[in-house]
Amino acid sequence: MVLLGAVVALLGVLVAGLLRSHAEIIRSLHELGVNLDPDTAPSTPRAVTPRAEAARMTRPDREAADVVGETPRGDAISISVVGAPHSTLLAFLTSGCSTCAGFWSAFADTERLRVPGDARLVAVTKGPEGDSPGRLTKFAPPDVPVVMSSAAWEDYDVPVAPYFVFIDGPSGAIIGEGASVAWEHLCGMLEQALADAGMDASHRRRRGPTSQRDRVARVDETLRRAGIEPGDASLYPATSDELQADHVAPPAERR
Amino acid sequence: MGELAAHGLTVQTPSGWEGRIFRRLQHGQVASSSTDHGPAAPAGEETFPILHVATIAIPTDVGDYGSHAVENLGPSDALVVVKEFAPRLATEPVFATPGLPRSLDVDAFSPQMLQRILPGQAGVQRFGHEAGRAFCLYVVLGGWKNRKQVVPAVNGVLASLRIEPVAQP
Repeated sequence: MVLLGAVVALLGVLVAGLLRSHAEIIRSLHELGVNLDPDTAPSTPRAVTPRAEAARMTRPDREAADVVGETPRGDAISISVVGAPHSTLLAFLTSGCSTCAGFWSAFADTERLRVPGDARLVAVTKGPEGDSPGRLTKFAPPDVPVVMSSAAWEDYDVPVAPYFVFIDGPSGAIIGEGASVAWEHLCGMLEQALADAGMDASHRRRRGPTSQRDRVARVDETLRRAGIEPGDASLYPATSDELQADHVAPPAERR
Repeated sequence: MGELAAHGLTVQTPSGWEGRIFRRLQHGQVASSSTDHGPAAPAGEETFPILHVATIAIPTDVGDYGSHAVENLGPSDALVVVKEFAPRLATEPVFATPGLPRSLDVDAFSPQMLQRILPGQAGVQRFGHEAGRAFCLYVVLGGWKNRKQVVPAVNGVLASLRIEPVAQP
């Protein structure tokens, strides 16, 4: 009898846990714009409607906070958000969700990536206890810092991934936050939020550090203006004397 | 204010500052992403921890002494670099000074003490050993003219620096 009671109690706990998990999933889907209510669902096959098409970013009263954590390699990193001279777009992502995969890919395309409001883009995942550093090293884009910080998810009360928060650095105010399913949708939401806040939503080059690709292009252009094309002998000195010389003879003269 | 701690180094980053403590890949390790801080060390070379703290956004591909970052320093900005060298060098003359300074004199900064001379900037470099480890401290000010306003903030960061002994391989 005691054993039966224990089994029933255990089953009760399991059912309660399942119900809670189910409710959290429904809530997350709802926040993404998916309505599973049969009374309001259309008769045609249900499709996921990105909330971003219709929804706007919300502007919470919550205070912004700097982001402190570690990189997927286990190094320490902190990102200045509040008081920074620029705006910051925090992208709360995971290494596992399929929607997040689209954002990781978009972030890696530094040539095309333009952040509304000229904001600095920072990817924030949960800490090593909540995400996989090994998987994240494969996703980490070349010019976007990746911070693993469960504390940041708590600071910004992130309800679902992917989730985005746009902060105005000088004032430390959160201009807008919300979930999105694609970079293009997010940009539309951000532009709306920035316009509502009276801020410039123009897409200039990504704010903050100049990208490696930018620097390579700038160096190439400078060399070209000086008449030095790719493959020029002066780029490949064979000796330290040549390295110090103002002029390096072409390969034919060296021989 | 946030606390950064890794590789036996700890520092506080005041509001408006950010930082990293990292170690570049050792020879044989495979670089796979921006978090790897560039290619692995060549054969025969070791890498050691580097600490960067700055009032600007630090690029993902920042150089050991702040290349790719110093050009972004404004007149009121600063970059602090603590770069470690092989512990066996801690007894060499260049690292003979015990302890890294936790306070720098405003007048110690000079436009001539820069790895890369940029107009208006100034720097200072100090070598020393602490906790059996060899270090170089390198600080760049974006504006030499503002040193009296900026150096106290730099000293606040340095005062929070803690260096712990690490196990030798």
